[in-house]
Order: sequence, then structure tokens, then C-alpha cells
Amino acid sequence: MSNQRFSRRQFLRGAAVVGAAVPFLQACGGPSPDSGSADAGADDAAPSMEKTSVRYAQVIGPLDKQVDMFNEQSDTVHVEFELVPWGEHADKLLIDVAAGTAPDLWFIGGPWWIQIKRKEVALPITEFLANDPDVVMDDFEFPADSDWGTVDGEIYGLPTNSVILRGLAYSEDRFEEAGLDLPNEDWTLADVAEVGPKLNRGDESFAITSPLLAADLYLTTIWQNGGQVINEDESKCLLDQPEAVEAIDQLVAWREFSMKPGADQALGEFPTAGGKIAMWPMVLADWDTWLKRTANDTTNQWMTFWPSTTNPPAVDVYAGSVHMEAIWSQSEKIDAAWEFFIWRAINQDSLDYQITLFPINYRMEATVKSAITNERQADFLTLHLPITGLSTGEYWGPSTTEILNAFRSEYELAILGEKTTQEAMDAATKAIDVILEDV
Amino acid sequence: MATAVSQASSPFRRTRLSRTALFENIAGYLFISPWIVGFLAFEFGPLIAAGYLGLTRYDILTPPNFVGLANYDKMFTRDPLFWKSLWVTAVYSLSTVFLGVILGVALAVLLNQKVRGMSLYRTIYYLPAVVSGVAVAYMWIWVFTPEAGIVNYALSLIGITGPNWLFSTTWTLPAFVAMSLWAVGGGMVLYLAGLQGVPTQLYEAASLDGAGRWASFWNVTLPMISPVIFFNFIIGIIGSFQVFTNSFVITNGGPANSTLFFVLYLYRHAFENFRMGYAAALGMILFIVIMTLTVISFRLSNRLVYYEGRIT
Repeated sequence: MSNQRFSRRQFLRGAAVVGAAVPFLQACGGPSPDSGSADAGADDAAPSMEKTSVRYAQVIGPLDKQVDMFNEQSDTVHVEFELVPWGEHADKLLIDVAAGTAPDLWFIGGPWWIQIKRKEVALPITEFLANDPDVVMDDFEFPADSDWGTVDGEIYGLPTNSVILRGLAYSEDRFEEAGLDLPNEDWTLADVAEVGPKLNRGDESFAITSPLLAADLYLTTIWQNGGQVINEDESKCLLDQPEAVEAIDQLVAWREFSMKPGADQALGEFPTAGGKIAMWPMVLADWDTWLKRTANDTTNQWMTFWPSTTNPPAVDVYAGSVHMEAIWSQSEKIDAAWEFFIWRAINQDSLDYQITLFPINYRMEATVKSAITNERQADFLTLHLPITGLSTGEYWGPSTTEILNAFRSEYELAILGEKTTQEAMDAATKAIDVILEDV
Repeated sequence: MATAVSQASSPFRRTRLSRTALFENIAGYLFISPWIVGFLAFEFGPLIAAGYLGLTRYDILTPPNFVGLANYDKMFTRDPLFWKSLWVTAVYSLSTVFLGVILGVALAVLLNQKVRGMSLYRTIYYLPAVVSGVAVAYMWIWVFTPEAGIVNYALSLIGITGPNWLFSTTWTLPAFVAMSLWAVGGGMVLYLAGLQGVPTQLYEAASLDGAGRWASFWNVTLPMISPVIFFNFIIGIIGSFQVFTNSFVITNGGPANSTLFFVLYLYRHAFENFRMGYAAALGMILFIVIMTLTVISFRLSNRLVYYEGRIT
């Protein structure tokens, strides 16, 4: 054992260090709900020249410019932009809400919105919308968006942008080389299957990206074929029914001429620019992404609607994601938050800026005409207008992520050829029925 | 008097601390108090909370409802993915821990030689242990991609058509095991330290007794570094049962749940499915599994690990 002894001075120094560590550790815990900014509670305070500061969490980085524009224009409110990565935005919001430290305004992806919109996390805004003289409800152009934010007639949120519908992008060069007609809005999945083998060149370049698609495309395909994921009272899965199985089977067939599943990830974000893929799913009217994926629109590619299962489809419908924004129901600065919230959604400067990035849901058509001078860009942005009236939010059921995972794991077995589509959907149905029992 | 005698002869007699000793004790506790506070607040507290939440239905956003053992009942009787994720994790853990120990020791032995530039080699082998998990995951996507990946390219040079590593129910888990070995340098450093602590006279004595290199390794080196191997083994078990990043980033549990590791499954319930109560129950099961394996390992260590100077 050491004979070393502490002197009183050494002891006091040590104690001081420990004492100093306590506030440090406290600081590491993050701000308390009411200590986030110097002017917290300013709404209740006497009139002041200081702006009320509100926090706005968003996953889309370029929207910080919208915040800058607002901060310049507003005399009373200052918005603090908090960029959150897409992959963790929902986790972070849940934890922040549970801890009582959520931002005053926040973005949330469609699948998570479905699961929280009934939990009183978002502020009901029907009255705010009705009483705001600047809001013209009819100028919200996409019916799916409005429905998405509503629970039992009460509106809880507004979409960040228009409903996200995916279309079929294609390389004109590849089709011309193969002597094939270009895809058009009348195309069916059978047309894709017909041209697929002619466009596929084995390991060199592929007819289409893998049959692993975004969830909204599975849903569009099932719904268009008259199928459903679950029944009306949400007690039974219907993926084993012939309409759903037949629809899914058409996608599974792509494995014969598509890039191997799992390989597209390694090609990075923009595999289509190099001409390795003749057809690929792409969000309609997302100009910013289009530029990135087509080397600034220099690769001779264009888009059309996602092919239906039959022409005409059994049900004329397109499923899309709707990402929402809402005001936290426990925010202490609701009026200030509302001021920015509605400005972002309907102010013409805000819309003019946002339309340069991706489609909006308020006065979309008029804004394209007034704000976009590039003719091709304007054509691109308005491509989806003919089908937006047919669009609806992507809904897999009450526990949407869990049901989707159950579907996807069996669908993957069908793609791998380890199960027939019918066997896979039978198994998915069984798994989803257990989930529905427990919701 | 009788009481005094009894107190004096009791082995549990409380000794009165001198002022200095008391002072030192208080100082010691004060110095470790940040750790104690951290442990209570961030580890023991959450453990107790998870134990309680595992008995509730809790979606994070509304107050928990007590449901008794319903979560555990569902887990053991109606949730095939619970068993699937446990199985996937156990296979991964078994493979990575044993392969990691063998490869780590082998590398350490190689890097314990007196060769020029050895510091550089050691640094190179250790580097992967300090690279960010997500960045490494993206690198592996490239390495294992079926058409253009370096692994399948290397296999093609010897006439083998490589599989679709990251989208095959057969090959995805082996690919993950291979990825885990990339970070074997972390353990290797400890083995290396252990090797350098083996007294050279033991090798000399073994040599005089006629032992060859293999016999020396088997009878001298391995027993002498067995505490380090045991330490890495325990840490390896604990770490491998908590594997998450690679499967979250690369396969998200797929294809067909073939890489659905236990913690990924737990994460999905907690943050995607809004079933924090169920996730807490899963967490308790994970705790029990790891604790059981650790206790078994410690029991076995009495027979397999040699501690220098220990009286047996």
C-alpha cells in the first residue's frame, strides 16, 4: 500500500475540481426546456425590441436560406435553424419530446408522422389556419397533403412540400441504341418486362435498378391492381390475395434483367449519370436531385409516370410520401412559431425559393410560371401535375414501419428466388396479422 | 467485559479509522464521485428504468401502462423475429469472438518480431480500430459489391465467381464476420503488450528442455498471455452481442432478416415501431444473455486462464 498522504491543500484542490465538474456535467445534459435562449418566455414578457427566438428542426439543408429570408423580413421573430440528418431525425424528435426539449417547429418523415399524429405531440392548427387572413385554403393544391395532416377533422400539420410521387426516369440514348420506343405515360409493368431483356447487357449495364424499390412504389403497384395491404378495419392483412400477389409478382420478375439487389448502393448516389442503367425510379419534380443524378441534366434522360399494372389500372391511384411539419404542442412560443410556420408555407418569397429545389403544395402552378425561367426546368417541375389529383399518402397500416419491414423481408425472399411470390406473401400476411393483433 | 472480549475476537469487528484514514477515504470517494454519479445516472438508473419499462406498454410519447409480463410472453411465444435476431447474433458472436482471438494473437506474434519498420506495421494494423463505424460501413459496401467489389474481383482472378455478398441469405452473415475481423487490431495491441511481458527466461528454459517454436508457443506463450486472451474474449462477447452499425447502415437487417442483429431489432421497436416497453424488455433479455455468458466464462477461466503468482 502506498504511504502517500493527501495534504489538506491537495484535498481542497481535488474537491474544487470535483465541484467544478458538476456544472460541467450539468451543461453536458443540454438546455432545460425553458433555458434554451436568452429571450425564453418573451411571448409573455412586456413588449420588447428583442425578437422572440424559436427553434426549427429540419432535414433539408438548403431550407436554411428560407430561414435567413424570414429572419431578415421579420421584426418580431428569430428562427434558429437546426439541421438534423434524415436517418436520425425521428429518433431525435421522439427523445426531445419525451425529454420536454423538442424544437418549437419540426419536420418529420411520412411513416413516423402516421404513428405520432394521434398522440397530441403536434399543435392543432385548424383555428390558426381559419383565422389567418393570408391563408387561402383552396390554394393548397394537393388533396393528399391536406388529408395527411388531419385527424378527425382537425389539422395538425402541413407538408414540407408536395406529395412525393415517383416516376420512371429513362435514358433516351439507351432506348435509341436498342431501337426501342421511349417509355410514356401509357406504359404498364408488362412493357417494362418486355424491353428489360433487350436493354440488359449483363454486368456492363442494366435495364433497370434492382427490384428493391421505395415503399410507395410497392403500394402504388398493389393498389393499382385492385389489391390492399390490410382490410378496412385494419384487423387483417390482405397481401396474400390474388390482386396483391399478381402485382408484386410483376416487380419480382425484374430480377431477370435488373442490377443485382445490393449492388446499387455501391454505385453511390448518382449511378444513372454514367449510362449504366436504362430505367430507374425517381421522384417526380425534384429538380435538385435530378440535376445531381443526371450530371446537371446533360445525360439525355427524361421521365414519365410510374407504369401501372394494367392500362387502365384497376384503380387509378398513386401512392406517395408526405413529409410533414408541425408546431410542438408544448411549445411556449406558439404565436412566434406560427408566424414562421405559415410564412414558410405560403409566403411568395418562400415559395419562389423552394420551387427552385423541389415542388411545393401552395400555388404550385402559378409559382412555377412566375419563378422559373428555364423552360426545361418548368416542364420538369410540372410533369406530375396531371396525376397529383390521383395521389394519396403512402399508408401501410397503423404500425406502418413494422408492417413494411414484415412485407419487405418476405418480398426479398421472392426476389432471391427462395420463395414463390405467393409463398412470400402468405408468410408476410401471417406476420402482419400478428402485428395487427398487437396494435 | 464479556462484550469486549466478544468484539475483540470477532473477525467482523469494526475497526475505528484514524482521522487521517477517514480523511483519505472521504477524499477517495470525492475523487471517484463523478464516475459514481455517472454510473448511477447513466447506467444503473437506466437499467432499473428498463426493468420497469419492460413490464409496460410504452410508446415514449404517452405515459407507460403496466402490463406485467405480457412483453416477455409475446417475446417467447409469438415473436419469431426475437428468436431469429437472437440466433443471428449468437452465430455472429461465436464466429467473431473465436476468429478475432485467433487472428489477433497470430498478428501480435508476427508483430512481436524484431523487423525493421515494425512500428509502422503496428500502426497500420491498429488504424482500423479508430476509424468511424459509419465510414467503415460505406467502405465495406464498396468492397463487397457483387459486380465491381474488390473481393469478387480477387476471386475472379482465381476463376471463382463471387457471390452477392450483401444480398444473399447465405453470405451476408459471413461477410459481416469478415468485416468484424478488420478491426482486430484493437485486441492485437493488447496481445502484443501481453507478449512483451512474457519473461524471456521462460523461453530459454523451454529451449533448454528441447522445446521447439510450436511447443514454446503452446506451453509458454499461450498460458502467459491467457489473462489477456480472456479479457479480450469477455470484451468480444459483450461487444459482438451489441453489434449494430454495420447492419443498420449496410443491410438494415436484410435480406430477409438474415442480418437482423438483436440490437437492431431492439432499436426498431424503440424508435421505429414506438414500442419502447417491448424494446426495454428486449434490452433486459440482452443484459441477461451477456451476463450469463460472462459468468460462464469466468467460471471456465479458473481452469483455462493462468494468472502468474496466483496460488491455486
